[in-house]
Amino acid sequence: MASIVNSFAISGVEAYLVDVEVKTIPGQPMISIVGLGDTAVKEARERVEAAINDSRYTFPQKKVVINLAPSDLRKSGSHFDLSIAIGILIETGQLVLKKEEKFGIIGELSLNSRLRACSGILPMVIAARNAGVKNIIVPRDNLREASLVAGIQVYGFAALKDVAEFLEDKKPYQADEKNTESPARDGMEGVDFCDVQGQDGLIEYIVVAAAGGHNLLMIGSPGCGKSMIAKRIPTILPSMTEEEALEVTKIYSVAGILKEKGGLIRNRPFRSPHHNASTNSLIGGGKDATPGEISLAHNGVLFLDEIAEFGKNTLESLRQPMEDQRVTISRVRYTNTYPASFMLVAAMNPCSCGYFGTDRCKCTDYEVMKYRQKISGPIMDRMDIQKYVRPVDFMDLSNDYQGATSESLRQRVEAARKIQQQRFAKIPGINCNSQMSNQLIKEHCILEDDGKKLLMLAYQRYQYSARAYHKYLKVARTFADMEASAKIRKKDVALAIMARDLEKDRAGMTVL
Amino acid sequence: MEYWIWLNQLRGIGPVTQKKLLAHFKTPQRIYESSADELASVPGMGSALAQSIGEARSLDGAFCVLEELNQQNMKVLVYDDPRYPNLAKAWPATPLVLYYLGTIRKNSVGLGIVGSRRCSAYGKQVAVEAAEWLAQQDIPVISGLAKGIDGYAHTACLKAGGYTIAFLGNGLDLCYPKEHRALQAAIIENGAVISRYLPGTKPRPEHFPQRNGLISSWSRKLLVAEAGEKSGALSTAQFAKALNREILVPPHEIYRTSGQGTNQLLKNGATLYLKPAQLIFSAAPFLSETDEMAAPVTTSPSNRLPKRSPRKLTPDEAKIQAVLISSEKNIQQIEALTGIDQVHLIEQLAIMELEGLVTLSGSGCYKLTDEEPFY
Repeated sequence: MASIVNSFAISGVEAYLVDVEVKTIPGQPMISIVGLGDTAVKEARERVEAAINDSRYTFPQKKVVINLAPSDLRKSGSHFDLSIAIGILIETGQLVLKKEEKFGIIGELSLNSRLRACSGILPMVIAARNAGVKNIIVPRDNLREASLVAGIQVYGFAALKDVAEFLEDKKPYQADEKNTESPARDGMEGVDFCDVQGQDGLIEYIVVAAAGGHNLLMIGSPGCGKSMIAKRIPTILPSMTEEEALEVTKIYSVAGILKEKGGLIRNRPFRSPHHNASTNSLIGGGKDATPGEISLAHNGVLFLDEIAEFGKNTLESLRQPMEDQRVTISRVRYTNTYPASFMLVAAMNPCSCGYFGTDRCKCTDYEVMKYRQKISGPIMDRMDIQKYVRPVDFMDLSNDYQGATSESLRQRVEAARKIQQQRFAKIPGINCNSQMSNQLIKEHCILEDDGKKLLMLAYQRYQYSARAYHKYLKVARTFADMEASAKIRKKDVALAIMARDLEKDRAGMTVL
Repeated sequence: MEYWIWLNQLRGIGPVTQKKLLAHFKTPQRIYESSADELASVPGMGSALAQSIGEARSLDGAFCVLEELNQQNMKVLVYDDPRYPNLAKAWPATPLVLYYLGTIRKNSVGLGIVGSRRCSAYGKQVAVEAAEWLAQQDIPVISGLAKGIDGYAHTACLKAGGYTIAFLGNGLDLCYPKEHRALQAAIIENGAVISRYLPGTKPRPEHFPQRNGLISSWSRKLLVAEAGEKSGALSTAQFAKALNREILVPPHEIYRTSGQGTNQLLKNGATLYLKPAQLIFSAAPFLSETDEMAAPVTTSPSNRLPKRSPRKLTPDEAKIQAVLISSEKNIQQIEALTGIDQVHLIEQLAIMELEGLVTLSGSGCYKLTDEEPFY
């Protein structure tokens, strides 16, 4: 009878249980791994053989067949090494299982039989728990990551020999002394909104964007502080819930970029791909259909600096994920769906020379329009807030000037988010004002008479479309939420109307 | 018609000689039918030239041109057409035949607005304000469809419902610059695009002085909104000067390169342009201005307040208004002067802007609106 060990394989951000079946058959000494493994899986045989010999066990001089079941699903990764090695030891009688319980086994082997950390640990441990496996063995370096999952006993080991002796009950498990808890919220490397001086007006809009989940476009001349502000946006976003943090960590785990191979990601991600980024790197892709920047920015901020310089197709590809909040990547071998619910923050220059509005700018209105048209209507439409960032006169700034801290701004954001969560508690898939449908806008955006009058005035003056009208209502709703007002007041409308500088610019252009 | 085109297309003789012939023979057909000897008898005509005209006696080329023009719906304006302005004929080199799209109305002489292609916001403002004013007075705006000032002048005029004429340095079937394709179409709708060049002629550097001459000749006055040291607008001004047309020039900062050409024009005797009212055509345009110029420039704050306030201003709004009276300011300056924090200021300014009490400029400065409030 073949020996069976439990391991796991990754598919998208989810994992599933894999039975690693090992059978020795009399015949020419060889090892064969079947079950649609990729090259990393196939190469396991060399690592396993070296590791078994290194640990003073003997590798069988027979034909060894290893099957990864279910055999019709493609599997990849080097984390099957340990389960294959244990399977061979059991099959050849060199390891006699003394433990009664079912064990899941994950780990990559080095040639001198040490265990190496692998990617995708978090989803695999979650899959183990969901499959009813009560115990799981992982490389010691992955212990922190694996421990994030409650309801399963996690064991971390450093070498093949240790695992074998533990399973034989020769040596008890020694828990790692290291503190496995990561701090509740890591410091954001010392960035804080109080560093941004003289932009209080703009920051107010950024707070609103953060509070309502509105996408934000900043327009400004080079060096006026767009990137500085964008880097600080994650510091005012509300803390992630445990569930959100797990989602993010899973994606990072699958992408193999979980920092220090462990620890729950508690800070909202901030991704800023360069404008040279390809569509696939942004959306996700590659031969294994791996997550792209939009998924890595899940629950956080995707910052596109110089958005006008991004490829047109690359930008257009963002439209659907922004709508669906997830993205499906199809490749020949894999089709994966990754979550992609992010706040888009973009920055651009106002014109090709970058100094529109100042004496330095000699662009004609047509050239300005042409530059701005690099960003298509549908993308622009999704930018609820479009604000100019005006350069600050440094000579004017007094040194003792202190802006609001990220901490205090975040409290306001969280208060407004709480109101929205209550409002949309019963509606699935909607967490914040920016996601409201027209129906919901009608229901929840009730204007006071003054506000209505003002909006009509703006509507006539700047010749807004009906669609833009709804945008303003959404933003105005968030402004009202910031002050916990049930109805949208005149001042909320006024502030919302000032949220779209570009549209106003358009009205003032001398072009046909 | 075909005789006109034949005459216009003749090699070796330009508009000046063509006009001499025309003065002698009265119609192009007569020129066509006259012998080399008859031609040579006209003063200024050499026998060799007369000979070559005699040899070119074929209307095939002219019919080809007419056919092509017909296909593209282009029209021809000939020298003796009543719509060909006498004022334009003052230029000796004015062509006998012009091709156009759109409509040339009876009184199409207007006011030329020209300037740099790369202009500052100031130059743009001058051009736009002037063009709008002219549109309201139903005075045609004449310009050259170039980028920058030309484009703004045409556009502002059309937006204000005026009549405008564009002179091109290329064939009418092309659009140069390309970004003005929509503008060109709009001018054809509400004015005319005129060229002396046949369809298919590419814009070449040597065409533009000719076009500039046409702009000057069709303009009673010429406004040069902004010109650098080597701007093409200066060539237009030169033509205008030669034709004795008044050249109006707004003052520019002396340290800025973008206004050096215009300042030079001022130094050389161009009229100082300060407001659109100067653009009106009349014998003595300065009489009314002098009175106003004498008035004190520094008006006291109280009489610059908007005359009619639709509602009572809140204390904060009044504060903002007081701060903005002397000059336009950005939000940080307003914050420093009023002591109202920016967040609150945006709110106030947003409402004030919507109600037309203040306007926001491209550089982010707020200023009080001079005109009547918006509602």
